[in-house]
Amino acid sequence: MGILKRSLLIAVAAAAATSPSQALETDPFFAWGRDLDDSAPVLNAKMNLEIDAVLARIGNSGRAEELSCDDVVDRLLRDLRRFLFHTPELWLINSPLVSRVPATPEEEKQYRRRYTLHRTHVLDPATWMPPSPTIEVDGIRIGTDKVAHFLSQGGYYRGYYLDARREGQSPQEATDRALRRGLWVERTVLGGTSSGVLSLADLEANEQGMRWLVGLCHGDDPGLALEDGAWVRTRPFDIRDHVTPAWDEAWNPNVYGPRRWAKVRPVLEGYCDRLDSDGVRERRDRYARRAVDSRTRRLVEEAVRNGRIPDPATFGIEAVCGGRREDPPATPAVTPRSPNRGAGDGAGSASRARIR
Amino acid sequence: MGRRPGLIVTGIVLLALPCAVAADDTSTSRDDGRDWTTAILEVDAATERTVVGTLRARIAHPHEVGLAVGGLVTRLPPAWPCTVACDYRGPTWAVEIASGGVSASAGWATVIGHRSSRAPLMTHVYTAFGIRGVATRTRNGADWPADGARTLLGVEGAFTVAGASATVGFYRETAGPDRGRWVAGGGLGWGF
Repeated sequence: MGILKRSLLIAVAAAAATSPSQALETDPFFAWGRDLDDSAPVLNAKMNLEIDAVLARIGNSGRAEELSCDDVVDRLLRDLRRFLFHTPELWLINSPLVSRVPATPEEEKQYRRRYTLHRTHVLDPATWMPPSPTIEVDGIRIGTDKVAHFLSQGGYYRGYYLDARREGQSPQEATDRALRRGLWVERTVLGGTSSGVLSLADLEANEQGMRWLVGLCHGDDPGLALEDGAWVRTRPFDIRDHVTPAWDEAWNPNVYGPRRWAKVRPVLEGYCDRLDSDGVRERRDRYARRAVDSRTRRLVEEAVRNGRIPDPATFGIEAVCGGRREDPPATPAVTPRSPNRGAGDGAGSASRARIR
Repeated sequence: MGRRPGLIVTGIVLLALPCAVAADDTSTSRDDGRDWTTAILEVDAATERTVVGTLRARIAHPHEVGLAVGGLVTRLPPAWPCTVACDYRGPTWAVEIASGGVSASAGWATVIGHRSSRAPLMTHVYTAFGIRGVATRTRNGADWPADGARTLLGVEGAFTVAGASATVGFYRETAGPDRGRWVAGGGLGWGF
């Protein structure tokens, strides 16, 4: 009796102390050297089907004219989002129409054993959820978790934005406030402090999600309109309007806490031999040619300058592999071009890094 | 394929059609020429009924330490592997053998988990919520409750995050020393 009660108390305390705050992580390096079909067309088709289904349900309810455009977006988010996992992401990781890595159950087992966060223990919240597969969208490798971030965190950012607008802030000020708040949440609750992983690529997806969701009802050319008593899309959703190389964590590296980094770095070193392969080099050169700028990037640079987060470049694959090589080439085959590279004066070496 | 995929596909097409037309959908205009919308409706919207096994281990009152096996009936596209994660929703049942007695339950649940690639068994539950009716017969001489065998009928709510599960239940003693008494219970464990 006493033992049972004590066991229950210990279990409750353990459950309360840990939470799966970091939902799904991804490892784009695992897919290096593997061909993937571009999933942008099929993802667009799926998203447009989902959006249309929500709009049809609103139309069939007979309440379309009672709803504001923002109410319609709320309904859209409610129907697409679930607790930790979201409908489009579950489809992406299962549909045979989507080209992804890992592609088979055997590869999935291998992925779980080898992905960047695998060197840890069972009580680590970061390992409580499955690592997200990698897909290719408009020539950019992303984890399927980015689509979830686009909708989920993008939805929260939209809420922050709308609150700020209601308080009288300009669209620019409201955007800034939403992104700053999002960065703070990622540094603390969702990422840095809790799991020791601050994903800058997730932040980029969050921003783009917010911009898309806000743009459905606001701005010069809203994406939704009430026509003849029914809410309709004014244009198809296209992920290619939003995805950038900064969504690829192999290009826009995560920032890790010291303990996490000590376990991740050896895994990244295992990919150094692929860094100079033709496919990887070609992709990174292509990324470098695509103009990448975002408000998130500038906020991250500001946080680096203020010492709130370490320089992300120190966690990049070039830094890992360059630092390991005894005789690095005078002119690296792949010049480090991470969008965050050169941001401010950094916060010392990665091994001493703290996310504050 | 299931018996009603055509009906489901037709329904979704009809639901989506008005909006797609209104928006002059050109989602494939920058694409590879394949009609992905039709492909999705044919491959992913057509579902089949499937049964997946469930497992649960827990420490609970009044069951004490127990192990439950059960099943969940749901509809999923047959081509989905579900070895990373799938959304299972539908009726569930389970039989639990515990140090404090045995119980049987039936209810409804929504579960996101992954199944084994070799057997129709959900080997890990990421998130789950369910409600079930429970019939429990406690063991005579079990320490908790203290004296005699009892039959309890009640309702349990179950919630799982990242494999860790919590249950809360209310049971009425229908046979035993305190017949008619209500018992509040609950437990913590793994699975669903």
